[in-house]
Amino acid sequence: MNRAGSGPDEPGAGVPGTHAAFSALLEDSAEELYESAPCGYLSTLLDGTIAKINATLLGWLGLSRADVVGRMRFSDLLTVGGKLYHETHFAPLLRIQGHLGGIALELKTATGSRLPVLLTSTLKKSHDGEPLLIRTTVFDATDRRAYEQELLRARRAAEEAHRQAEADRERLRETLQVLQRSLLPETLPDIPGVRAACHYHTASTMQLGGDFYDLFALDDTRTAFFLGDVCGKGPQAAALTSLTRYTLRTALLHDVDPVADLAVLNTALLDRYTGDDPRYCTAVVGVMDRVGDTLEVRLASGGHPPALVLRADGRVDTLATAGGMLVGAFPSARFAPAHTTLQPGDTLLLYTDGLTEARVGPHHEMYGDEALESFAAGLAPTAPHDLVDALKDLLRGFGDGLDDDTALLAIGLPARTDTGSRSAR
Amino acid sequence: MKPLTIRESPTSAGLDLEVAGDLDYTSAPRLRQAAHAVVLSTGRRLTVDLGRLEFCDSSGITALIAVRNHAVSAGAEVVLVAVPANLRRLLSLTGLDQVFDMRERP
Repeated sequence: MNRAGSGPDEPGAGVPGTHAAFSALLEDSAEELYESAPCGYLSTLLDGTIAKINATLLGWLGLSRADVVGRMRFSDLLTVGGKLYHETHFAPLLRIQGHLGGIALELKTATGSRLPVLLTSTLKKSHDGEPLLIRTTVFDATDRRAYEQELLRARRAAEEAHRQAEADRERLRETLQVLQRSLLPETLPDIPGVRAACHYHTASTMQLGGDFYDLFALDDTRTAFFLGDVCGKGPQAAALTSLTRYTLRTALLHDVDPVADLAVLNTALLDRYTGDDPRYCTAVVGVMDRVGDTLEVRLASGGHPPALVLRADGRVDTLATAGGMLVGAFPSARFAPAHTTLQPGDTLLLYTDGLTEARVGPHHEMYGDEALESFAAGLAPTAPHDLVDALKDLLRGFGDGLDDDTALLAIGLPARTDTGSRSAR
Repeated sequence: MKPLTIRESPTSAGLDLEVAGDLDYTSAPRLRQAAHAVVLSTGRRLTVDLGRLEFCDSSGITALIAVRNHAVSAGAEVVLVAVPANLRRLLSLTGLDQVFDMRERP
C-alpha cells in the first residue's frame, strides 16, 4: 500500500513571538499538510460529486486528480455493499446529525483491490445554516482489519479446538463406559431360589475404576461369586481387573475352595507384575451350596473388608476374615477363610472400601466399618435389592465425599413367607 | 489436604525417611521415586517414619509395598515407625501387618 509521507515538523506552532521564518514555514505547509497528510481528505458537494481530494487518498486509490474531481461521486469509490450502506445509513444520518465518525467501509482502488478504511464526515454549513458541502477524512484501516481478522481467525481456531476437544472427551467417555461395563457382568444371572442385587458407582466418568464383582452358577446347586478392588485407577487398573476377573472365574470352575482360588490369583498376578511395580487387589471369593432351603457359604478374603450378613431376625454378623493378605503383592500370601449358613430371609453383603472410606461430615471423617454395621442393623432384615437401593441412597448422600469407585453385591434367600426368585441390578 | 513432604536423614543403621502430609493417588509416586533414589546395601535398615502422615489411601499402600520390595531386593530391611492408628487399621485389614515390621518411635 502506498502511503504519503508525513509533513515537515512544525516547531513552535501557535506560540506568539516565534521567528518569522516559522510563520512562512507554517503558511507554506498548510497546503503541504493537506495534500500529504497521513490520512485521506475528501470534500464533496451535497449530491456527492467530489470537489476536492488530497494526494494521499489519490495515491491509495491509484487515481489521478483529473479522473476524480468533478467526475466521480463519493459513492463511486465504494464497493456495492458500501454504496448501499452509504445511501441508506451514512448519507441520511450525516444530513440529520451534521457529523458522523468511525464508519468502517471499503474503497475500490484502480487495480480492483479493496482498501478497508474508517471514515469521519462533517457537513459544512453556511452562516444561515444551509448545508454547503461534506468534508470527509479517510483513515487506512488495513492494519486494523488484518488485526481484527487475525483475532477472528484465532477465535475460530480456538472454538474449533474446543469443539474438537469436547468431541474427543465425549468419545473417550463412551469408550471408557464400554470398557468399564465389559469388566462387570451385563446382568446378574437368575439363580433359582436365590436373590441377588448389585451396584457399581463410578467416581469419575473420565477414569476407569478398579472395582469388580461377578456371580455365576457352577452347577445345579453351587454358585460362585466374588467382589474386589484392584489397586490404582485408569487403563492399568482395568487391565489388572480383566486379568483378575478371568483368572478367578477359571480358578473357581476348577476348584471350589476359595482359599485355593485366591492363591491361584496371587500366583497369576505375581507372575505378571514385578516388585518395582506391584499390582495387587483385595478380593472376597466364595462358593455357595444349596442345602435344603439354606445356602452354605464358604468364602475367603484377601485383604478385603469383611462381608456382612443381615440376618432374618435383625442381627448383623461380620464374617471375620482378618489376616487375609492383599492378592498379588507377596509370594507367601495367606488368605483367610470364613463360613456361614444363609437361612431364608438372610442377606449377605459384599462391598468395596469406596463405601467405608467415603469422607463424611464437616471434618471429612471416614464413614467407617462401625457406621456401616449400624446402618445395616437399622435395615435388617432386608432383601438384597432393598439393601442395595438403601446403600445407593447412602452413597448419593455422601456427595463429594465419595471419591472412589464402589461396588456392592448382595445375595440372599427370600424370607419364608416370600417366594420366587428375582435378580435386580 | 496437606502436601506430601519426604525428608531423608542418615542414621547409624542406614537411612531414615520421614513421610508427612497426604500420601494419595497424586503424591504416592514421589515416595516411590524417593525410595528408588536411595542406595541400600545388605544389612542396612530403611526406617520410614510415618508419625506425621495425615492421610494414606490404597495408592499410598502400594508405594509402601514398592519401598519394601526395593529394600528387600537390596538385602536391606524396612521398619515402619510411629504408624498412625488409621493406617495401622488399613495395614491390618490388608494383612500387611504380617509383612511390615512396625515399631513405636525409639
